[in-house]
Amino acid sequence: MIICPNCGIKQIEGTLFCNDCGIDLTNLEEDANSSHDPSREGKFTTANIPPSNFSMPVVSEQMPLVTPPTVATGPIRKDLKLVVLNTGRRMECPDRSNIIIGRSDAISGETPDIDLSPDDALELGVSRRHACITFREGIPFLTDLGSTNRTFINRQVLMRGQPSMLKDGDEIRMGNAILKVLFKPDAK
Amino acid sequence: MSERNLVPLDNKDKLKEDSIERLITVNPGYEPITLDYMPSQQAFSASKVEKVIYLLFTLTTLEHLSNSGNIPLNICLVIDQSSSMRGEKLFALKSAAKHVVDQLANEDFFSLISFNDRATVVVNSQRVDSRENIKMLIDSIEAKGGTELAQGLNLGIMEMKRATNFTELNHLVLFTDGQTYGDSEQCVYLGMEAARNNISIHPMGIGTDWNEDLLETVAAKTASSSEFINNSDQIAKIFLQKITQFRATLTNNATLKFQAVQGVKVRNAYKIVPNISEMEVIPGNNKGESNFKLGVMRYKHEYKVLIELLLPNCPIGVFHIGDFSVQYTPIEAQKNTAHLKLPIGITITDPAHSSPINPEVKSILEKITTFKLQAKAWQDLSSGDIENGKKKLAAVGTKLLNMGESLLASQVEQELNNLEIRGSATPEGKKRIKYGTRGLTGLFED
Repeated sequence: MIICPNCGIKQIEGTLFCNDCGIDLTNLEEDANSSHDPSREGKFTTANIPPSNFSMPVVSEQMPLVTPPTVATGPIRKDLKLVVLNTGRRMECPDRSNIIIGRSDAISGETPDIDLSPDDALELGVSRRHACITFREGIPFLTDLGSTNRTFINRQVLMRGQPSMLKDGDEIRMGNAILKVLFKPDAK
Repeated sequence: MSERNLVPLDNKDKLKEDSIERLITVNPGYEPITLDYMPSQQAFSASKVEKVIYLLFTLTTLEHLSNSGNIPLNICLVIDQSSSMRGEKLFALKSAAKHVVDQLANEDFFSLISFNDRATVVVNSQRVDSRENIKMLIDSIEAKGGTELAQGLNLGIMEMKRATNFTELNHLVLFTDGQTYGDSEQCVYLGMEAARNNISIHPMGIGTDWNEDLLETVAAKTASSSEFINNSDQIAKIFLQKITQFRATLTNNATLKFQAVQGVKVRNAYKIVPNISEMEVIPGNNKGESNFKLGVMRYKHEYKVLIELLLPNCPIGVFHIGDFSVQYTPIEAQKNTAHLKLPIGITITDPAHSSPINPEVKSILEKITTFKLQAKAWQDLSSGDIENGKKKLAAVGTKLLNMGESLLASQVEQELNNLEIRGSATPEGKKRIKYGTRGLTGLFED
């Protein structure tokens, strides 16, 4: 049996997509069959940023905001790190079950848990409350909070309000800001 | 199930393509259907527990032989003439019907029934040799009254039965824009009655108020499916396409059969083309035999069926897991039933050496998953489980975005907003998402 990392329901071995929530389960099998490549870690420079196909991001904040999902049902990951590829800045994630990523707002004085303002977030099209990271059984999930310029994981766009699993080495794009996800994967 | 049931093959060559057995050849030297399959992996990883594998079958039909006889069509048009059809819809429908009459051959049979609270034979079953008279009768239809679908279906089937002895191509095309009241069970019964008389029912829902679940159930009884017409302008085009498809019929009764070896079971089966639909697994007479109705197959076309099989356990080796075959009676050779048989073998290897997942099988399965997920979302929503319904619908939207189906994804997003604000989705949005996801594999359709 495989346990779906998204909905937690048991699936028969070999199942490619979860019968209950539809999530792609093939990465689980591939991960189990391939060993982790440590050379992927810690070698990111701005030269790695793929050419952008996006036009100048819009910075309007008129899109509907999405309430952060409540999927934190287990331990959080203390070894989760994010590297902003645009600037090379490396950040430890705060020790919280619900981590908001965005840019600080001088007018309201609000600052997200991970503030991308020092990385020119406004110019890169990052919303004030762009996305959030939550945890389920120690696995981090990223959710777009109704951002104007959308959130992508490995160039796949996220549906607003729908948590998507984060894996070590994933590349998150928020507007034109690109972040690399780093954490030590659990031994299977 | 832990018992080891798979038996390794003595001779791997048994599974080579040339072992396809052709039990009866209908027309020597001319095989109108070929059957091929692709497993989700060339080599599956070994497992000590029950495992699911996927097989994608492709049935390709050849071009129609030019010297074969022309079989007449028996077409019955059943038109909703309730007051909601007044104006543009009825005008477009009458105009499409007249256009179809022009396209039919003199040897074809045509009849037309209109219905509201009661049904009327507007054109009785007849050869199409008096076109102007038929068109005049079509023009006489006026919109008034309510919608009682069973009345129309019943009279349509009765009228068609007058010509079913002359042809195998019997098609009832139903156009409606509204809900029927109190006669749903009778409609389903009439679907079965039509199937018994070799008549296919093709419901076309116009606009957003018709009951897609009922019409789909009725159509499925005759191995057909319903269609959603969003705009009156599309009526003529879709109707004419249908007539062309009816004329290109190779067989009305194709069946895919699976004879499993002990321990192998069918979990699910899906028809992929022209639309995604779950196929009923009908147990056969022999132990381990399952049948899947393919229904009508046309000439020069490609059909795809995805089958999920459960294997009891998977030790390393090459295994014969069963035989698939296609049985069909070509409409031009009613007495001869053809039968193509294809033995299925799979390779199971050490997990470290298993092959990558076939991208075509994976892509098709993802589309099927998306279609099933939206169906579950509507089920959750209608049973009052709003939160789960919304979650599933959001997952459908994510999948659609990742497939590049941005229009359909934004429809999903709109309905999620509607659920958030009004507490319910719109009937139009629901139909667009249902029929849109069902047609995700439409790229295979010509």
